[in-house]
Amino acid sequence: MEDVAIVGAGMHPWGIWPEKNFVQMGQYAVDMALQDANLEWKDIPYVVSAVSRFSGSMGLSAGNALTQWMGNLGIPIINDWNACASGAYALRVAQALVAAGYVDKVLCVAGDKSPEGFITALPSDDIYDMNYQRLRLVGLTNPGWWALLARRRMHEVGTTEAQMAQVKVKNSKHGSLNPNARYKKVFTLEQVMNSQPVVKPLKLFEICATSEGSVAVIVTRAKDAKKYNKKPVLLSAVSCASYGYPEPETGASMVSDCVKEDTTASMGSMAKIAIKNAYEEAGLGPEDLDFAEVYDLATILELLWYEELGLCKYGEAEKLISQGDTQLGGRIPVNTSGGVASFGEVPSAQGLAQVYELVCQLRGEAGARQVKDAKAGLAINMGLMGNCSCLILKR
Amino acid sequence: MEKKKVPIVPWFTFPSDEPHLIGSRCKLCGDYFFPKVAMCRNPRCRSKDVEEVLLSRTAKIWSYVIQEAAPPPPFPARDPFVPYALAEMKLPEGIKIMGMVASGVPFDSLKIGLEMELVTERFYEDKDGNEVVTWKFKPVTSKKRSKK
Repeated sequence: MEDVAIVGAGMHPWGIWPEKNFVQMGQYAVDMALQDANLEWKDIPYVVSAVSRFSGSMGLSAGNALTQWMGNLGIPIINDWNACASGAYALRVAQALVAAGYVDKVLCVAGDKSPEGFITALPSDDIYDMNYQRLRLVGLTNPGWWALLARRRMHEVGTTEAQMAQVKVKNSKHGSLNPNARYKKVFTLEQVMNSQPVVKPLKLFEICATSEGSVAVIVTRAKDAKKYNKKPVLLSAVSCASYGYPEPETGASMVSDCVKEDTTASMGSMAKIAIKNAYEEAGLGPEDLDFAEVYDLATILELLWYEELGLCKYGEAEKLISQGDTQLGGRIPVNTSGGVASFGEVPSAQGLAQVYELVCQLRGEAGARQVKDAKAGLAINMGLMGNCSCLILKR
Repeated sequence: MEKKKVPIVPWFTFPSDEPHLIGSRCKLCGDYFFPKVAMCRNPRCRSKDVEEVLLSRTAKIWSYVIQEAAPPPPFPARDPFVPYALAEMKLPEGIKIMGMVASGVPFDSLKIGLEMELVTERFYEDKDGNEVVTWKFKPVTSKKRSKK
């Protein structure tokens, strides 16, 4: 199979943009990616787009909506919905299409406008629609699920609320250096600790906001990549996974799971599978990474990701954050972009937003948040209904 | 006239003084499921030989949270919102089940490992004036525990 590389990347900044819809933000990101790859819109032979779940029926065929306004080309357009991992799944499909020789380049795009507040389920009459029923029957919100992990972790290893809050402080420092981040304010530990409880033990500034934005990347065969861009970025692993069985961790979109063993707080079976496969696909291990983007929907998740990724052993994640190992300049900087803490969540686009940060870092174009001599970076993401992705990119 | 009580889903015995959640047990591989299934969900089994079972009435808290902000619909939040506790329970059968904690249980009495029992409780009133009932968990009293 052919190696595949990213030759163009573009991002519409995250924020609240009342005057724009997802198509207009998408055009901005796509034009930026095209310019980056020295290509024109009419040169694009294939689009893989994430579904824009919050943008009505137009958003269900988001890639088609975008091309209507960019100019119709008669090309195939795939629209995928894999929750927060949608962008990463789009990249996997693009990679497969190019690697198999069906097409010489593919544009991946993802963007949306998430409504404010708790993200809820689409209406359903089906009592077996567990993602709907967990909200209706037991009041399990997404932050509620993150808080269950936080409480359990505190019980297991004595994690303090201050240690969790340190994750937000660190990510806000990183986000303040990123022009594409929605929030550029640096938070103090006191501000995070004193913010109002949302789902105890988690507080307002420890859980992500919702946001609006768009991101696009263009991939080609690695051997052709330098024709388009002097600094291509290699897709070393694009690993996607869903729930396994038995499940060590009841999923956020469930009210029950078969859990035979005594388990510790973790990101569940899909994370373990996605990570193992990513390291195998890349032929790398955690010790080979220069930095990582991890899905910090809440502070506690970042700590759990450290251990899932093998950046430290079980029970040591708190030490990593407290010692500054994961801040810029530390042993293994994590969420150099500022993470979802600084961006806010656009579910369909966060997978590709992580890719955008990896591309910036690996090209040495991350400005004030640049990781020195970054050669390999990892991005881990997860979404509702058992959607997980783990990517490793190399320069 | 007394309000009619209706279970929110047919997933627990009702009416019942000692309610149970209704699940399934696979007769081939032995795995348990909630809610009940027509076919085993173990991908390496998939047997159709599953039986309906009443799940244990008592379970231990694996983790719990206090929801302090009103969830969005379809959760029927009261106005003004009343915070509630939600627990992830580990059953002796080896499955975990989520449930709200019964009203009136002090939040600070909850702790991981605490033994709780299943109860049913009024949840909200529907548009026809029926009292909709759901399952919840409350701590097992010491009297009941000593009976075992």
